[in-house]
Order: sequence, then structure tokens, then C-alpha cells
Amino acid sequence: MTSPYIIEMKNVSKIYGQHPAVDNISLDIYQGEFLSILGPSGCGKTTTLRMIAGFEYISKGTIMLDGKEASHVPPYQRPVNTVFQNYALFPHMTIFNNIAFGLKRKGMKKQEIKEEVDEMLETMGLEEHRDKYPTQLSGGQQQRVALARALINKPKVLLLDEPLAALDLKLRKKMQFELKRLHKQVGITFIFVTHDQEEALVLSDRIVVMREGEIEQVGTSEEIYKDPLTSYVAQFIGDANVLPTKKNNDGTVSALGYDFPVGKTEEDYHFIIRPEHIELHLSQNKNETDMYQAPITITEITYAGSKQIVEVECMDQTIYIHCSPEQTLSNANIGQKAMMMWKKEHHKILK
Amino acid sequence: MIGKVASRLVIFMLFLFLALPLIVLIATSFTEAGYLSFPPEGFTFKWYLEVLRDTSYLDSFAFSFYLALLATAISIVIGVPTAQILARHDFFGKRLIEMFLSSSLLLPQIVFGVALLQFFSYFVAKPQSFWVLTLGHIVLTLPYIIRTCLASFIGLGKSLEEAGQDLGANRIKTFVFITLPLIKPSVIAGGLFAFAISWINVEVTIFLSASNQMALPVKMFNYVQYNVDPMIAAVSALTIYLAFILIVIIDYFVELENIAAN
Repeated sequence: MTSPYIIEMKNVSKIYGQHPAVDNISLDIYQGEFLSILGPSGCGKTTTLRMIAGFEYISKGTIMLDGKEASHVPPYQRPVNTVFQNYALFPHMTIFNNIAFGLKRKGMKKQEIKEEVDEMLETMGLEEHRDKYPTQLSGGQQQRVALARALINKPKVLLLDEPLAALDLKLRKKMQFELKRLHKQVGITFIFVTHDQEEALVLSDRIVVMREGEIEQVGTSEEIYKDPLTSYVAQFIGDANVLPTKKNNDGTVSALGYDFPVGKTEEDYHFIIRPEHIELHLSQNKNETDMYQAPITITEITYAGSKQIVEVECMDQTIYIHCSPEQTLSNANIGQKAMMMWKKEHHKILK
Repeated sequence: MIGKVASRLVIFMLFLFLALPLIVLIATSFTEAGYLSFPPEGFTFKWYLEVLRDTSYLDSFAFSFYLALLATAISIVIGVPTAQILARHDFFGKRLIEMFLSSSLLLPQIVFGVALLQFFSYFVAKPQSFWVLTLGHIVLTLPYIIRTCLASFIGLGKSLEEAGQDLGANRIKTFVFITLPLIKPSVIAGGLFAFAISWINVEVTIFLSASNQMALPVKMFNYVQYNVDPMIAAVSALTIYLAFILIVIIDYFVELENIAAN
């Protein structure tokens, strides 16, 4: 029976001196999925990727690649290839030779290499750059060479270390689309490291959110967005209002005038709500509704094209509300009292 | 405008300052007079012919060339991997090793020559032999290779080497196909320095040479202690020509590669 997983990491740690860069993570990665590892710099995401590639040996735990124990297999014997953050194209080789490098190491015949590389050049739209050197290419073109150079080896897993970070916004969007198409086309597992939550949401089948060397949450884009397990995840993915809560003696915490049961606990909880889940009502009256509501003071209104961002104050807390651009706020004044309302399934009380 | 002219002038003066002694030396080697004279009196090749007729000079040229080549080659073989290790790994005592490897640049070479002679006297019956001499020269030339390559390795970063390994090349193949071609200019530059350092060395060589081994600088040193005539200028001029040809050849190859890479 074949395992549905191409990579299985069990209790993996990477310790530099005293400090664990990756702290006891376990992660199973499916055959053929697009998995993003998301987190701020220093969260251990790149170290995790480098352990899969074999550039860093793991300090503790085990890592299985394609059903085989791989903890001490050197990078050149692993069925994975990497697209590096700075592309790491060989500056002394032509584009053709860059892409052919992996095939040459496999000892393939010259004619076969030529055919395969030329085919890959065509797939990636790089035919005209065949005999150029990397420095003669634009960032986007270098990016495609890096992808071609990795994919031509038909790896079981493609590792991508923030490959879009160096591109400008427009090109980045285009490459995101191309990556997704490429992933469908080749059908192998992509593991994509990024600090850009939007990129992760757009591209991934599943997202791993990391924080300080540990995995905070694993789930689909939708799960991570709609159902964050911690206030850290909520804050990191999309926009979120994260408010402190006050602990009460009866096992509840209060925020915005309401009490929420959490049970007896020592830990601090946060009240979390996304700006697009709040409705703004310009009347000051309490409405007859089963929605939560709280009195607010408008402090700023910003028109941002696809939405209006309203900054309000509620019980000494600053809260952001996203309103649709159609909602008429032209008669709203700065300093005006109003009401905000939200459905009870939309807020979260999280650690 | 004035600034531009002034800076050109400064650069010209600098070149003059560096080149003038060589020009004087070369000019002197063509003098017809029996003593060192500048400007040269007349023009003759007779001092060169005298050098070429004296086989002991040719032997010294050959010996020094062989010695410098060997010391440089061994320094490259030891120095390049050492530099790579120093650039890529952090370990206890790394700074100390780095400084230790450079120490021969700081010590007075004459002290160094005596020290080496004493050191080898403890271990071999005949310390003044070719291999001891080569070893002494390697100690002098190694820092030049390590220092130039170390900078090059650090500048190169490790991601290209990782990319090589990622694409299926083991450490040795990665070194041959990726690392070496990229650091080659530094190896050549360091090698040139190393060769020159070995070629001109008197202080260490004089202590470690056997009587039948006469490196060129030692022979010249011995010669000028007793007589100074234009023949020594011709010998010196010949080494300058040799160095010049060597640099032109290497420059030609390095230049070709730069053109290819761009």
C-alpha cells in the first residue's frame, strides 16, 4: 500500500547552539499538493524547507521522503529540487547549460539532454534566451529559468523559497498564476515558503502557519482564514481587529460590553473580529436584532477603491471596519456617534 | 575640468613612481659602460649575452622557476580547500587559525628563515634540501592563496554551491563545475602573488638552500656583494620581462572568460 504522503516529518527539531530554529514539528505532506509554509522572518519556515532539501541536517526527529528515511541523505541524492530565493543561477553558464546541469549529472546522453532542455525552454517561453547568460535576463525570466532548471529533473517535490519576493507586484501576480498552472501541469508536490499571507491564500491547497519554530496551525486557505485557532493566526492571515479582554471571576472574559465564557484559565484571551464582518450603522439607536452591537465614535474614513476603511473608537479601543464602497458614508462626520453590529458567528475568542 | 586634469595627473605620477625604477633598470641593462650608468652609454646586448652564456644563471632561472611553480601549485592545492572551509564553516578557534595562517606575512622573513632552519634541524639530518626549501616557500606563499580565495568564497555565498548539490552534483562535482570556475580569477591572482613571493625570496631561501641549489635571488644577492656591473641589471631585466609575459598570458585567458561570461 502506498502512503498518501510524499513527506512525513516526525518531531523534527533543528537546534543552533542553544536556540531551536525549528522546535519539534510534525507535518505530513500529501502527494501532489500545493503546500505553503507561512510565517514572519525567523519563524523557522526556511529552516524547515532546507531540512527537506537536505542543506540542514535535522537535530532531532525523523524525516521520510517518498516512504524512505531521509534524515541523513545528502541533498544530491534526494528526489527534491529547489527554486532559491535569489534563484542561484550559475553565472558562468548559459541558460541552456543551467537547465541542463541536473540532467548532465544523471549521465544522460547529449542528444537526449538537448531535446529535453529545448522542450523545457519552449514550455517556459525561454527559447530566445537559450544561449544568453543569467545576468542578461530580467528578474521574471531568471525566475522561469530557476523553475525550469529544477523541474527538468522531474523531482517528486519542488521546494520554493520565497521565489517571488524579489519581483515587483504586477510580475508577482502573473508568476503566482503561472506557478498555479505549472503545479496543475506537472502534478508534483510544491512546497512554497513565503511571508506573504495573500500569496499563500491564493496559491495553496494547504497552509502551514509557523511561529517561533513551531507550527501554529495547518489547514486549507479557507480553514485558516475562517477558523483561526489562535489570535496570532487571525492576525497574520488577512486583516483582523485583535482586542484585549478583561478576565472575570466567573470564568468569562469581557470585551466591547459583552461577557464570553472561556472557563477557568490563567491565560489571556483576545477578542477577534475581521473588519469586513462588522456592519456600520450611522443611527445611534440600539436595533431590535439578535446581532451583537456596540456604540462607536467614527474617527477616520478612508476610501480605498474596492472598500471604505472606517476607523472607529469603541470603549477606548481602535477598531477598523471595512464597508462596501456603495454604502453612503458621505453624510458621516468625524467624531460622529454611531453603532457597529456583527453576527455572533463572526467574532472569536482566542488565546 | 581642473579636477579631472588634476586626477589624471596624480594617476600618471603614480604610474611613473611605480614604473620608473623598472625603466631605469631596463635602460641600464643596455649600457656599454662596464658599470651601472643612467642614462645608458650607447646600446648593447652584451650583458644579456653574458648572462645567457653563463649556464649557472640559466640554471638559477630554471631552479627558481621550478621552485616557485611547485610552491605555488602546492599552495593552491592546500589553500583553496582551506579557504573554502574557513569561509563556509564556523568552528572553535577559526579566527586563531586564520591569523596563524597569515602570520608569515607579518614576521620579518629573515627571522623566519632562521626559525625554519632551526626547526628542520631537529627533524631531518640535512635540513638544507630541496623539499625543506619548498616547504619553507609554501609557508610564505600559502597566505596569499588563502587570503584572496577566502574573500572570493565569502563573496560567492553558499547558495550556488547548494544549487549544485540540489541538482545532483556531489561535493566534488559541485566544486569542479560550480565553485572552481567562479573563484578562478582569485586563484589566479593569488597564484601570481604566490609565485612572485617565492620567486623573489632571498631571506628564507638563503638559509634553507643546499650549496648546489642556487635560487636566482640568492645568486644575485651573492653576486652584488662583490661586484656590481650591468650584468646584474640584465638579469633583473630578464625577470621583469618574464613577469610581464606571464601576466599578459594570464590576463589574456582571464579576459577571454570575462568576455564569454558577459
